[in-house]
Amino acid sequence: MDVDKNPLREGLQGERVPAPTTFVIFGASGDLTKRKLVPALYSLTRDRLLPSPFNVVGVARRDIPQETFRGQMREATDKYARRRPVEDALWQSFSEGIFYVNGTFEDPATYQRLKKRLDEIDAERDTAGNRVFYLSTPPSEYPIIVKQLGAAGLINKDRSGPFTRVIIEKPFGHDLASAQALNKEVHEVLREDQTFRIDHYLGKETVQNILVFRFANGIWEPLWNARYIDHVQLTVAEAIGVEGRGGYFEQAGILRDMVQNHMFQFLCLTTMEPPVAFEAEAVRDEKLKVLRSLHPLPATPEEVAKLVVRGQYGRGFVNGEERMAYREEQGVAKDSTVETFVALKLQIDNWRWAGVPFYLRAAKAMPKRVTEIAIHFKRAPHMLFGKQSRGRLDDEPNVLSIRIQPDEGISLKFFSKVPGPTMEVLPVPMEFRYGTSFGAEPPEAYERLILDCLLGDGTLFTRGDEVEASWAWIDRIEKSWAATKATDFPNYASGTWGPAAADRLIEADGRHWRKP
Amino acid sequence: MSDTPAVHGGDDTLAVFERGQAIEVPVGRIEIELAALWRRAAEARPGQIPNAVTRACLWNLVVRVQGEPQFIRIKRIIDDLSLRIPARTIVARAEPEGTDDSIRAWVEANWRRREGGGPASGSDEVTLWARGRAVERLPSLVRALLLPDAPTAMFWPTALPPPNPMVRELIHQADRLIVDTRKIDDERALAELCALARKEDDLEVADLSWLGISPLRGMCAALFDPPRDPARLGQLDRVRVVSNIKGTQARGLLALGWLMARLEWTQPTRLPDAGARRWQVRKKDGGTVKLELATEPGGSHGVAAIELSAGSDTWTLRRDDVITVSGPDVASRAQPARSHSDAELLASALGARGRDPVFREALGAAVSLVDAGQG
Repeated sequence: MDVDKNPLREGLQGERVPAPTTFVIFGASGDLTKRKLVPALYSLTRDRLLPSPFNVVGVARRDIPQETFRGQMREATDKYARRRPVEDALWQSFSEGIFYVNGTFEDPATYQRLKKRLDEIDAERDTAGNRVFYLSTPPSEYPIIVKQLGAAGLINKDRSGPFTRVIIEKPFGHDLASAQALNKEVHEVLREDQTFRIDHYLGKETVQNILVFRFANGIWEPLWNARYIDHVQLTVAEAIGVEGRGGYFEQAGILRDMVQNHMFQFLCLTTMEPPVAFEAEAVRDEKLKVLRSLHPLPATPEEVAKLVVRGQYGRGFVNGEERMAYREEQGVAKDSTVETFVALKLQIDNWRWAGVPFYLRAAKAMPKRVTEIAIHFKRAPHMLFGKQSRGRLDDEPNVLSIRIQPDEGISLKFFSKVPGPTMEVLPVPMEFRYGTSFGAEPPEAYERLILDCLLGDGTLFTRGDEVEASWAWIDRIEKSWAATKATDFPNYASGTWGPAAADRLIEADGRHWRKP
Repeated sequence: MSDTPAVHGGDDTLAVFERGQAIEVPVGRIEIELAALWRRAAEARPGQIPNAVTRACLWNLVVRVQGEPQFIRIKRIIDDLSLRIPARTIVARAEPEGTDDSIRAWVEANWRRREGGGPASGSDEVTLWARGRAVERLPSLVRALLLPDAPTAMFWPTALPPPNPMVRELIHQADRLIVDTRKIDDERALAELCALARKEDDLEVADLSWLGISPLRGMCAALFDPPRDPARLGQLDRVRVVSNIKGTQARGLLALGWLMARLEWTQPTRLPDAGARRWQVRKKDGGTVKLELATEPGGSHGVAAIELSAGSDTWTLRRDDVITVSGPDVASRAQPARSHSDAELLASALGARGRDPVFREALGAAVSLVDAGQG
């Protein structure tokens, strides 16, 4: 019997069970807490994946009684939990561990009250001092909260004793300088392995499946390189506009909001070398190598414009519904030059990917919501059936499409003979869909990520150097755009696939955007 | 299921298929009829666009049933299971006492409907009903119906598979055997299961009874998770398992067997009963542990309580509507717990938990308790 481990854990579903913990949410009155965090914690409890005891402490400005907060969380869980209806007995047990502390994030007294309350809870509920702090606040509050947590003695940086971890929501900085500054402030209080920069896309089953698909199957890796792949298209399209987040979006734009984080993470997972192990540092080391291999953008705005196209939606129709222009949205300047569409071409300067273009496209007010990674393979070297395919073999290569959302799954397009006396050739899709193959509903991304943080597993979180490397590349685009303001906005109608310049970007290489 | 064969190829047949009801087909045409029905379900109707119909399968699931009551119960479980796991289910109903030496076959689809209506995806269900000597032809028929590239599980819903060649032939085709030891009426059957598992070394064996106690095992394990000291497990000197049910105690024995196997306790000797069955087992360090399996009325749980003692310290898990946990260094608490349906347990058995090497170890230890002689 290995006395360092619990032998009774062998073979049980939750072999990796977190230690009893108190989960503190800053910004507890916010939308994320209600829609995602507390429902995710409830679902984890229901699936018996959380330790017992487990406490949730909400911290927010409003002065409300604890019972009111518990009531609000029940209401939110009733509305947003993955499995409904909420079980009363289970909620009763879960809610006994929910507490509330009010105060402003700038006020040191808030942290003293919080510390006192956490100590009391530890004593009452046998939580042993383990704490996770979740920063679900505006990004401007991150440095203040982290600093105050340190000043109040709420961070245990020592590796022995109870653990302290901090989850920080995106965006992590708004450019390279701010990301570096935030990393510096965080590292003054926390070790890197205590810092969990969350990108909820990485918690999605389909995103995690990219690595399984690539590295658990022997058939793909030999083809996964410049010799067999012609190009790759990554698309994150949303049918909605900014939906009341105009104020935020005016500061961010789609490049910062989508490309720097989500899309670069997809890119890394799609292109990274096999890690030596499925462990946090090994995976993140390989992702970082990809980001450091990105071919540098040219120095002049004119040259950058040949590789990066920006756009902003005007009025139009999405799904038959009329949609206002971006500049008509609440909180958006009437002459805004903030981009809601970006298409770009990049290259990865390494042995595997030399010469393979990657086309990235992220946008709002598109015809539909879809996130996918499409691997376009090279054509067969000799077109034996070129005539019979009526040109399709030339225009439509084999495409492996990894659909992140919706209809999560993988599709492979290949050519087949049409039944009949002639040798007609047409493309057919071979489909795998999570929904039909597994039946079981996948857990919410936040459930997986919160559980991983409680277990101290940072594999699906972004490391500080990754964030800085991605900002370093994005900064060049931002600087180029700052030097040449967009004069043609809005340049695409809502409900279309973007400006004509985006088509020209890819067509200049003899290729076309997919219409996923 | 109607005894009257449906009209093959007509619109009525398609409507029956789309409602998820059984259609009788000739035994030699099962695959052909199924393929035709799926194809027609996906075809466009006059004035309509074609249906998007997906035929899904993660498992071949062979279920051996006998008699009408069991047949009805199993059909309900399969209906529920099909919402959780798409599988080609082959229900093999064998009635060797029949005199007409016949096999009949029905096909149907288990649909998982898309929100807003219309079939979205479905899986096959084939029912074979063999009587008299035709029972001997069942294994060959089942073999022909197994889909390639999907693993095969055999679910034996009552007691344990008898050691006759026909049954062994069916089991031999399977990757996983799923049994339910709650249904055994003699604890010595655990030894038969253990022997079968040893003989079919590549066969994964899952037990619904074992899976049913996994929440309790999980909570028991949690008592010794860090920061508490797992080494305290080495200091245990008494274990008491309480059952609410009378008669065969497969679950209680498996719970004790689990602790024995995981904590490396061996050489059980039977102690005189004292209101409960009692054993003494030897620890690796030479010490001994007393085991007790008691029966208390008041509920319906095969394992209603587990008590672990080390000197004067006792950790207790007691199952009622909730599981109440208490012990040294543990804040007493009650955790909600619900019993799982057979379909839920079966879905679990078809998942990763159905491939549990710890079960084989626990089963072996449970058998050693049944076989233990007086010390």
